[in-house]
Amino acid sequence: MDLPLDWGVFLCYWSCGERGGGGRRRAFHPLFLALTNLHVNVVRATGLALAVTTSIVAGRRFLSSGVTNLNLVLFSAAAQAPMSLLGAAASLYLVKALGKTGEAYVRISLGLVMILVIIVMVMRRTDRQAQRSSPMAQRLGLVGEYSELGKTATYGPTNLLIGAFLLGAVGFIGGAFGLGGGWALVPVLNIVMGLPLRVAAATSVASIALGGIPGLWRYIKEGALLPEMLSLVLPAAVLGSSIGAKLALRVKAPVIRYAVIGVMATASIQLIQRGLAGLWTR
Amino acid sequence: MDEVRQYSLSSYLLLAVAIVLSYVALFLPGIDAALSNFDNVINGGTRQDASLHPVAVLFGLSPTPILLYAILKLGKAAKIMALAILITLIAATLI
Repeated sequence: MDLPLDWGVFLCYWSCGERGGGGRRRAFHPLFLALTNLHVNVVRATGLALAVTTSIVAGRRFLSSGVTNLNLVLFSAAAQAPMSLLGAAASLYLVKALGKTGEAYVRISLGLVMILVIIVMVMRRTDRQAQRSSPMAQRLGLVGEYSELGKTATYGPTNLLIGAFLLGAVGFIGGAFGLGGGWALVPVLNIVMGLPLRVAAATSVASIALGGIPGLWRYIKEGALLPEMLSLVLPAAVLGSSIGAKLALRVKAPVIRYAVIGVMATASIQLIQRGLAGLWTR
Repeated sequence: MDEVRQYSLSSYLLLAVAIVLSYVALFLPGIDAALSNFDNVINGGTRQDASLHPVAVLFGLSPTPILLYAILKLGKAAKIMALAILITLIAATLI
């Protein structure tokens, strides 16, 4: 892969790959791992850093507006944090112990995870009606209220144990692949734990910074979070999200959705192909 | 709620300082050195001397003000959950 194509991927990411928070950073990993020669650890560390950045920027807004509460964010993050650390440690060990073969396994696994994300995106049925919260949720202070269309609605999660287990699983995948996990957090919080969609989305975004940071520290300790990558990619996260937000108002949502699915499907196939080629040519 | 805003603003500011410092770290040695470093990174290289780079450390510390706020100011349940995250974070920095 020569330098112009690598620069082309950066430009592509700058112009259309980044659309800001709410789990919309999905184009970063497939684009950079499938089409550039960047080291897998650097891509994963930068991806997690992007997720943390968006989470801090957007989470501040959500917490201030009261759409979610800090106890709920802490619950979601506490379930994710140890598993994020475990996932990051396991995948870093894989790359360190197996070298190029480990990198190939990471590419293949990420390709498969991306296909899973596509299936979730295509099949996702969200906005399950809110249910009565459990007594445990009330004791933990996870119950709150928010205003929507001039009306005040209350919310509180149910199925805390199953929810915590699933949030932990998402944290593991997030740590292992450097993903924020918004694509899976929102369905868990909404469908499994019965939170309204708006609260689930806000909680998901706000909890990624606290839940993903132990995983990010494993990458930092490996020297994989580089100022070079941060300085090039973070402006795309800021500029791209504001440009993308304006574009999103003019383009129909299904068009954007299918465009993202198209990019991810192509990149997933490329990731699996590169991973398999790495295994056969070792 | 105002306190939450203030503490999350601390996280926001730490993050902003880390981003600005990443540009300083990149361009302080000169444009040629910056391009050479970037060329190395984009061609699959990692920087062995980059372990615990100050910019990365600052970036990694950015969410901690909100955790400290929860531990110091919120109720028992929030304290326990925030402590659990903080312990995991400390473990991640020590392992």
